[in-house]
Parts: sequence; structure tokens; C-alpha cells
Amino acid sequence: MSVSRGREYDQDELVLKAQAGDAGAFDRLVEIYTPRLYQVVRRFASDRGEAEAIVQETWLRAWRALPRTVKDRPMGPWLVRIAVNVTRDIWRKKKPLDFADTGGEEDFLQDERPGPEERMSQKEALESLVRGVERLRPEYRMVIALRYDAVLSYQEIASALNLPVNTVRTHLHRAKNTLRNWLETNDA
Amino acid sequence: MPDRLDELLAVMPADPCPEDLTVRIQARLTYMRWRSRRIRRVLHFMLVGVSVVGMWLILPRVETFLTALPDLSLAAVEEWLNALARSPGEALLNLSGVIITWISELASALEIEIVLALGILTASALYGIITLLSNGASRKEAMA
Repeated sequence: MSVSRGREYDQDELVLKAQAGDAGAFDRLVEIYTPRLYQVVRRFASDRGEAEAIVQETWLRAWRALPRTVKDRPMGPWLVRIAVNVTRDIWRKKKPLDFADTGGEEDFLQDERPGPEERMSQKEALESLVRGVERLRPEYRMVIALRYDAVLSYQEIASALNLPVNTVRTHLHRAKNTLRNWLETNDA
Repeated sequence: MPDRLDELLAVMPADPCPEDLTVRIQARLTYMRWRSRRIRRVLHFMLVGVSVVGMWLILPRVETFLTALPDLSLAAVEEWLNALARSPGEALLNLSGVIITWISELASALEIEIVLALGILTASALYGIITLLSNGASRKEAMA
């Protein structure tokens, strides 16, 4: 969750105050980060209700963990990491996430020809892409959300998901190939 | 290198955040803080009560402990030091005898109420120390 540097200074101060137990400062952080956090979580959550539950639980855990956290890291990736853990806990009850490095029918070699996303109009492509992402495996949805909505680096995604960086790259590559495939089918 | 798909993924439209979500989260946080403050207050109140009970149990028996204590006057210590200088072996043997007698008198005076009271007071003191230390550590971390 990228924020401009000037705002980040104010937010650092808010984080320090919140760590010292200032509830008002923490509530202000909730106001600042919730809209963006919701959008990231909504991308990989199954539905709106689940996304809201994840975001709420993320803030409750953040409040409990903040006094023990050394805040030399930016708040955004830290919150996303908590949200990922909350999601894993929720999904574990339903069906565990499988980040195993298994290839699938969607895994194919990259085509050198222009992809369908080049041929479609921006609006059409985006609409189709959103639907495509919704149909991805939960593990792929998560890496896409962390990479493109939360704007995390590969290293940060690997750390949030507790995976090697290369596995993250593989998942992103496969997710994108699946999406290209989806756009191709839709374009046809 | 970012391709067209990367560019599209970066600008994908997202569901807007429900307007009241932030307010709901803040309300839950307020309730959680209120509840944890209440639990802490109840716990502190209980510990104070239990400590008072512990003191009430132990205070009437303090005299027993004091009478069981060996004579630690300056004259007695001087006499023992002289004895140590004259005959170290005998002095040390006498000292160990005094200690054993004191421990056995103390042990016989240890009734179940005293053991209970000591346990209660130790637990209360430990809780107090842990609370103080954790509050201090949190404040230090926050200010670092």
C-alpha cells in the first residue's frame, strides 16, 4: 500500500503514539488504511462479507500486536501480512491453501505473439481481467492482490506468505498465464 | 519488464470499501479496549483482595517467625567470631547446629494457612512485577 513520503512522516508519528497506547492515534490509522486494505483483501477474499470480516479481524490483531512490534517497517505491508494470516486462518477451516509448486493445465509456455490484452480495448480488457482474477485459484488471487493491489515487492510477498521468493515468482507467472488464457478465451 | 498485462493488473478496478466499515471497526476496537480495561481492573481488584487475605493470614504469625530467629545481637556475633578465631571447626559446627534448630522450629511453625498466605503473596508480588516490567518495556519500545 504505497503512500506519499510526506504523509508517511505523519503516519510514523501516529504509529508511535498508537504504540504508546493512544487509542485516538490508532483510530486515525484505521481511517487512513482501511479503504486500501479492504481493496487488497477484497481481491482475494471469496465475497464482500469475508473481506469485511478479514479487515476487521486484521485491525483487532494489529491493536493487540502493535505494542510488541518494532515499527521500523512501513505500516501497509505489516497490515497486509496480518490480513494474509487472518485469511489463512479462516480458509484453513474451509479448505487449506495449497502453495505447493505444482504445475497445472494452465501452465504453458509464453507466446511471443501479441496477447489478447493487446488487441482488446482497455475497458473491455479490465472488465474481463477482473472476472478472470475472481476465477483464479485462491493462492493465485492472493499473489496477484499482494503484487498489484498492495504493490508489495517479491521479497515482501514471500515474507507475507512465508514462501521462497522463487515460488512467489512461479505463482505470479502461472497466475498471469492463466489470466492470458482467460482473456484469449473471452476475446474469442 | 512490465508488459501490457502488468499494466492492466496495476489499474484493475477494485470494489470500493463500504462507507461504514471504518466506523464499525473503530466501534469494535472501542469495545475491545473497554473490555480488556475492565478485565484488568477486575483482576487488579481480585489481587488486592487476595493480598489482603494473605496479609491477614500471615500477620498474626509474624511473632512466631521472629521468636524462632537466632540471636543476632552484636555481642553474640562478636562471641561467635572469637570462637571462630579460637577453634574454627567447633564454631562452624555450632553455627550449623543453630541453623538446623532455626529451620526445624520454622518448619514446625509452618501451618497450612501460612503456606497458603506465602503462596498468595508471592503470586501477587510476581504479577505486580511482571505487569510493571511489561508496561515499562512497551513504553520503551514505543519511544525507541
